[in-house]
Amino acid sequence: MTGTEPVIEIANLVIAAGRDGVTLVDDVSLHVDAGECLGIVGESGSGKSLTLRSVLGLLPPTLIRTRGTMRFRGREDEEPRPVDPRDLRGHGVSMIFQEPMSSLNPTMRIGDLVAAGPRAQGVSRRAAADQALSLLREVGVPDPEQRVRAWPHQLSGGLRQRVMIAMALSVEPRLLLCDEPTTALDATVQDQILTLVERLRAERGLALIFVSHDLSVIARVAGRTAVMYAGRIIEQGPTRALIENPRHPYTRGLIESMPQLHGPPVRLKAISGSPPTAGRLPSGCRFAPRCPFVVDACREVDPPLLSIGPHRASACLRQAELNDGGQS
Amino acid sequence: MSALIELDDIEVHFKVRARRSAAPVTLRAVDGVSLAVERSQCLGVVGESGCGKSTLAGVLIGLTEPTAGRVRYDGRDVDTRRSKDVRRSIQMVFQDPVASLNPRRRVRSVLAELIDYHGLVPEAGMTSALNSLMEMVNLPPRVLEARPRELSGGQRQRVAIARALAVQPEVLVADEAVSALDVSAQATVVNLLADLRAELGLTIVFISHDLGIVRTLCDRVAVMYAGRVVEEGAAETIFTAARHPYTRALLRAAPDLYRPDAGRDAPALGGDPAGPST
Amino acid sequence: MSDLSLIKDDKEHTPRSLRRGNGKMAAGAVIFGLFILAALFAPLITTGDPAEQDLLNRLADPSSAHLLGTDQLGRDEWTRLVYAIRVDLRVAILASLIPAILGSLIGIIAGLGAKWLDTAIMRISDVVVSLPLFIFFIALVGLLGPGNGFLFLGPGELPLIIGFTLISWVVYARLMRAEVRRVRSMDYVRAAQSGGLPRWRVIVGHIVPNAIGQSIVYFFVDIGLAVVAISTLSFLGVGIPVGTPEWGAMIQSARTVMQTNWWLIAAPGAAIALAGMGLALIGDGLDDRIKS
Repeated sequence: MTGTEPVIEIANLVIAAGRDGVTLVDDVSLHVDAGECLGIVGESGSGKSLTLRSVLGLLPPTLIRTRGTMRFRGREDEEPRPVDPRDLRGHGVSMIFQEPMSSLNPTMRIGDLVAAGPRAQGVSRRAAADQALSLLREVGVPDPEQRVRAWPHQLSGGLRQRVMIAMALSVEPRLLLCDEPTTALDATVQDQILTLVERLRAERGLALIFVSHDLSVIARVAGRTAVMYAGRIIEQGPTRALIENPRHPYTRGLIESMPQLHGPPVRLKAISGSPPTAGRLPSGCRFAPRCPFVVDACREVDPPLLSIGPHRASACLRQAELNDGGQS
Repeated sequence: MSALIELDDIEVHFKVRARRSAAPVTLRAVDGVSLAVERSQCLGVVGESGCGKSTLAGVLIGLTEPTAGRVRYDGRDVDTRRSKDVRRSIQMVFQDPVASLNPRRRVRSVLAELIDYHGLVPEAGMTSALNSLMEMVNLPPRVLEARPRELSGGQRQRVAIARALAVQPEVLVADEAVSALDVSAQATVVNLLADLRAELGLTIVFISHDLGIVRTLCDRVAVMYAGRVVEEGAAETIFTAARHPYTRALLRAAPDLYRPDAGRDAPALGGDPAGPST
Repeated sequence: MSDLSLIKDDKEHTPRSLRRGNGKMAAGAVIFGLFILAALFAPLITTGDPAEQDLLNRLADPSSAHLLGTDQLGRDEWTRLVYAIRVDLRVAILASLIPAILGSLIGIIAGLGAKWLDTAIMRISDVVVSLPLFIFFIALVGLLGPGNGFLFLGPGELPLIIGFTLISWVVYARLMRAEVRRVRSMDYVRAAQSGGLPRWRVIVGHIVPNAIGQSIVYFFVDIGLAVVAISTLSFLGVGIPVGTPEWGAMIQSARTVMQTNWWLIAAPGAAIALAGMGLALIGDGLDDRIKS
């Protein structure tokens, strides 16, 4: 049930520390269709979480969205319309977070936590409780009839994350925002949660934006991926194609620096240096100082994200030379 | 030949009470672990949270007293009251690059204190000793004058490695030493550890939940679950022909860049990893 | 492969004036500094003798000769107000410093020492906390009497300092105990231990410097609280004897003329409030600095 028109469209988003402050997210545009998962991958400070949070207007108090438009399509038959982030909270968009302990109110029982969303929308106590029960069952909480009476601290990290997903689903969202929801979990539990997220996307036709620092997690859940570096999207494309044939040196560096579980064990290729500090960006391409493919032109112009084929875009001047391996 | 480090049936049990009035329960954090590490070998210890791998690290560096079992270093029995020299020989790199450096001290002062206390270099050689430590961990010498908060995560972790190396150890115990770092910083530190092992002949015990990194770095692997080692062997054997169902489940659960669907048809491991048994 | 990336820019490079808490600290330091300066140069900015009586000129209104007028004995109020700084701050600082040092040491022992010692110290501190403060002071002064002073201390000052020490050490002990317990499990302490450093070096070089911040913050707040408490006790007659230039005692003796010469109460009252506020601002600013 992939929609032909995106559920959400963000254009030219800019997030800065105050009106004239340092720019932290710079000219980011993205869209997600129904039933599609968009992955955003990047290292800490790349602006990936800020981009995600801005959808619901959940930026830290010192940061503001200085530019950018957002259009949202509430129903299948509706036209996308401009929206204010605040109006989407609890109405069409939900979010799950990295730390399930601090995201669950410790003074409420599990059942009440999940029922709170429907209750706020005027559903009767009875019906909301029933809804909570079936949601907990849907997200795979064992013995939901008993667990509705439990407190958050009595659950394991994996179960808490499932409860948070149930809460997110309770308002029947069209779009689910995932902010590193498995980073704090063990590998086997992460695996379970990723499988659950996958299933919900397929069954409910949810649009997903999944943010992670780990490209291999993104590879598992996202059909399409955007790579962020120093506040910009520097490459975008179908996940498989992007991993097999990266068209930006940063994406390539990211892939080569990851250890592999198959093939002969090889030495990792680290990207030299570290990402620039916001507000102290180098001139020209922001990856130029660390780039093994850098040429003089890279230091003069800041290359825009340009389409390089069906569904693919890269912000590298030399992307064509990177095609199918290039020379390293 | 005998191994450099031998753990013989190590047990670490804690008595805990759920409430003040409750009867104490014995928590078996480490429950009968025997391992041997040869000189210049890199042993990977993998497992999920609560499996006892960090407690084991505490036993190795002599900060946690095992309730039973013996630790032998270079053929001699050692415990938490080990000699200055044995203590110096086994050093640790901690997980959290923020918590592992004293926020009030400059890098120079932390390193110099250790070198000075152990009398490892003459007074006049201190500057060059510090500079060569920085060079060893690929940091510019001016990092010596920095305080921890001025450094990035990767830089801090390299300072932490320099601190461990400052006392010229034989063994480095790395407890999730790269898991708090970004991917590119992670690769830098992993490569650094590999180089140090090659150049200095360091023996490394690399504790991690990340199978990919363990595979890159280690030549032997021990898999821990609920305080016990459930499988141990040469790294390639573990990664290609694991015997224990838990090892297989771990390998299946690890997300893989090039095979995102690998093992998806096989049943995923249900439930949560078991904590320390009681 | 060498990594020559720049050291990450951070607070160290932001101008001092922009750091968190500096506004409060500067304001507090200015207020506190003015008090100290006034106390040091008291003879230069006053008539010079707080005890000098001018019986023909009692309860005079403020004038150029007597900035804040005179009291019932014709003593210059401004002079007494300024000389009172010497008494109040001297007692307040000592009544905070001595318990701060003793309490912190006790807290370190409780936090790092044997378990029975910790339990014993904590039980004693429970007892101290449950003491009713004013009754305790009345009993103490009754027992010791105000005395005639001790070394450089004036009458009534030593019992106050002893009293505060017996009570205030508890706060420092508890603060310090909690902090050393937090810090001792930090990885950098474990690293120092596994580096083979002897116990005392780990404690002095790695644990205490990182645990002492909150106690220093509280020390400044505590001086302010002590100023208020000392003047209150003196007002109640169990602190500094009436007749001494001391803010609480001055309010006490001006009580009967409150209707006509209200400023004889307002001026020392304002001085107490201002001193307390200045010190609280320093503490608050320090707290922000430590936490940022």
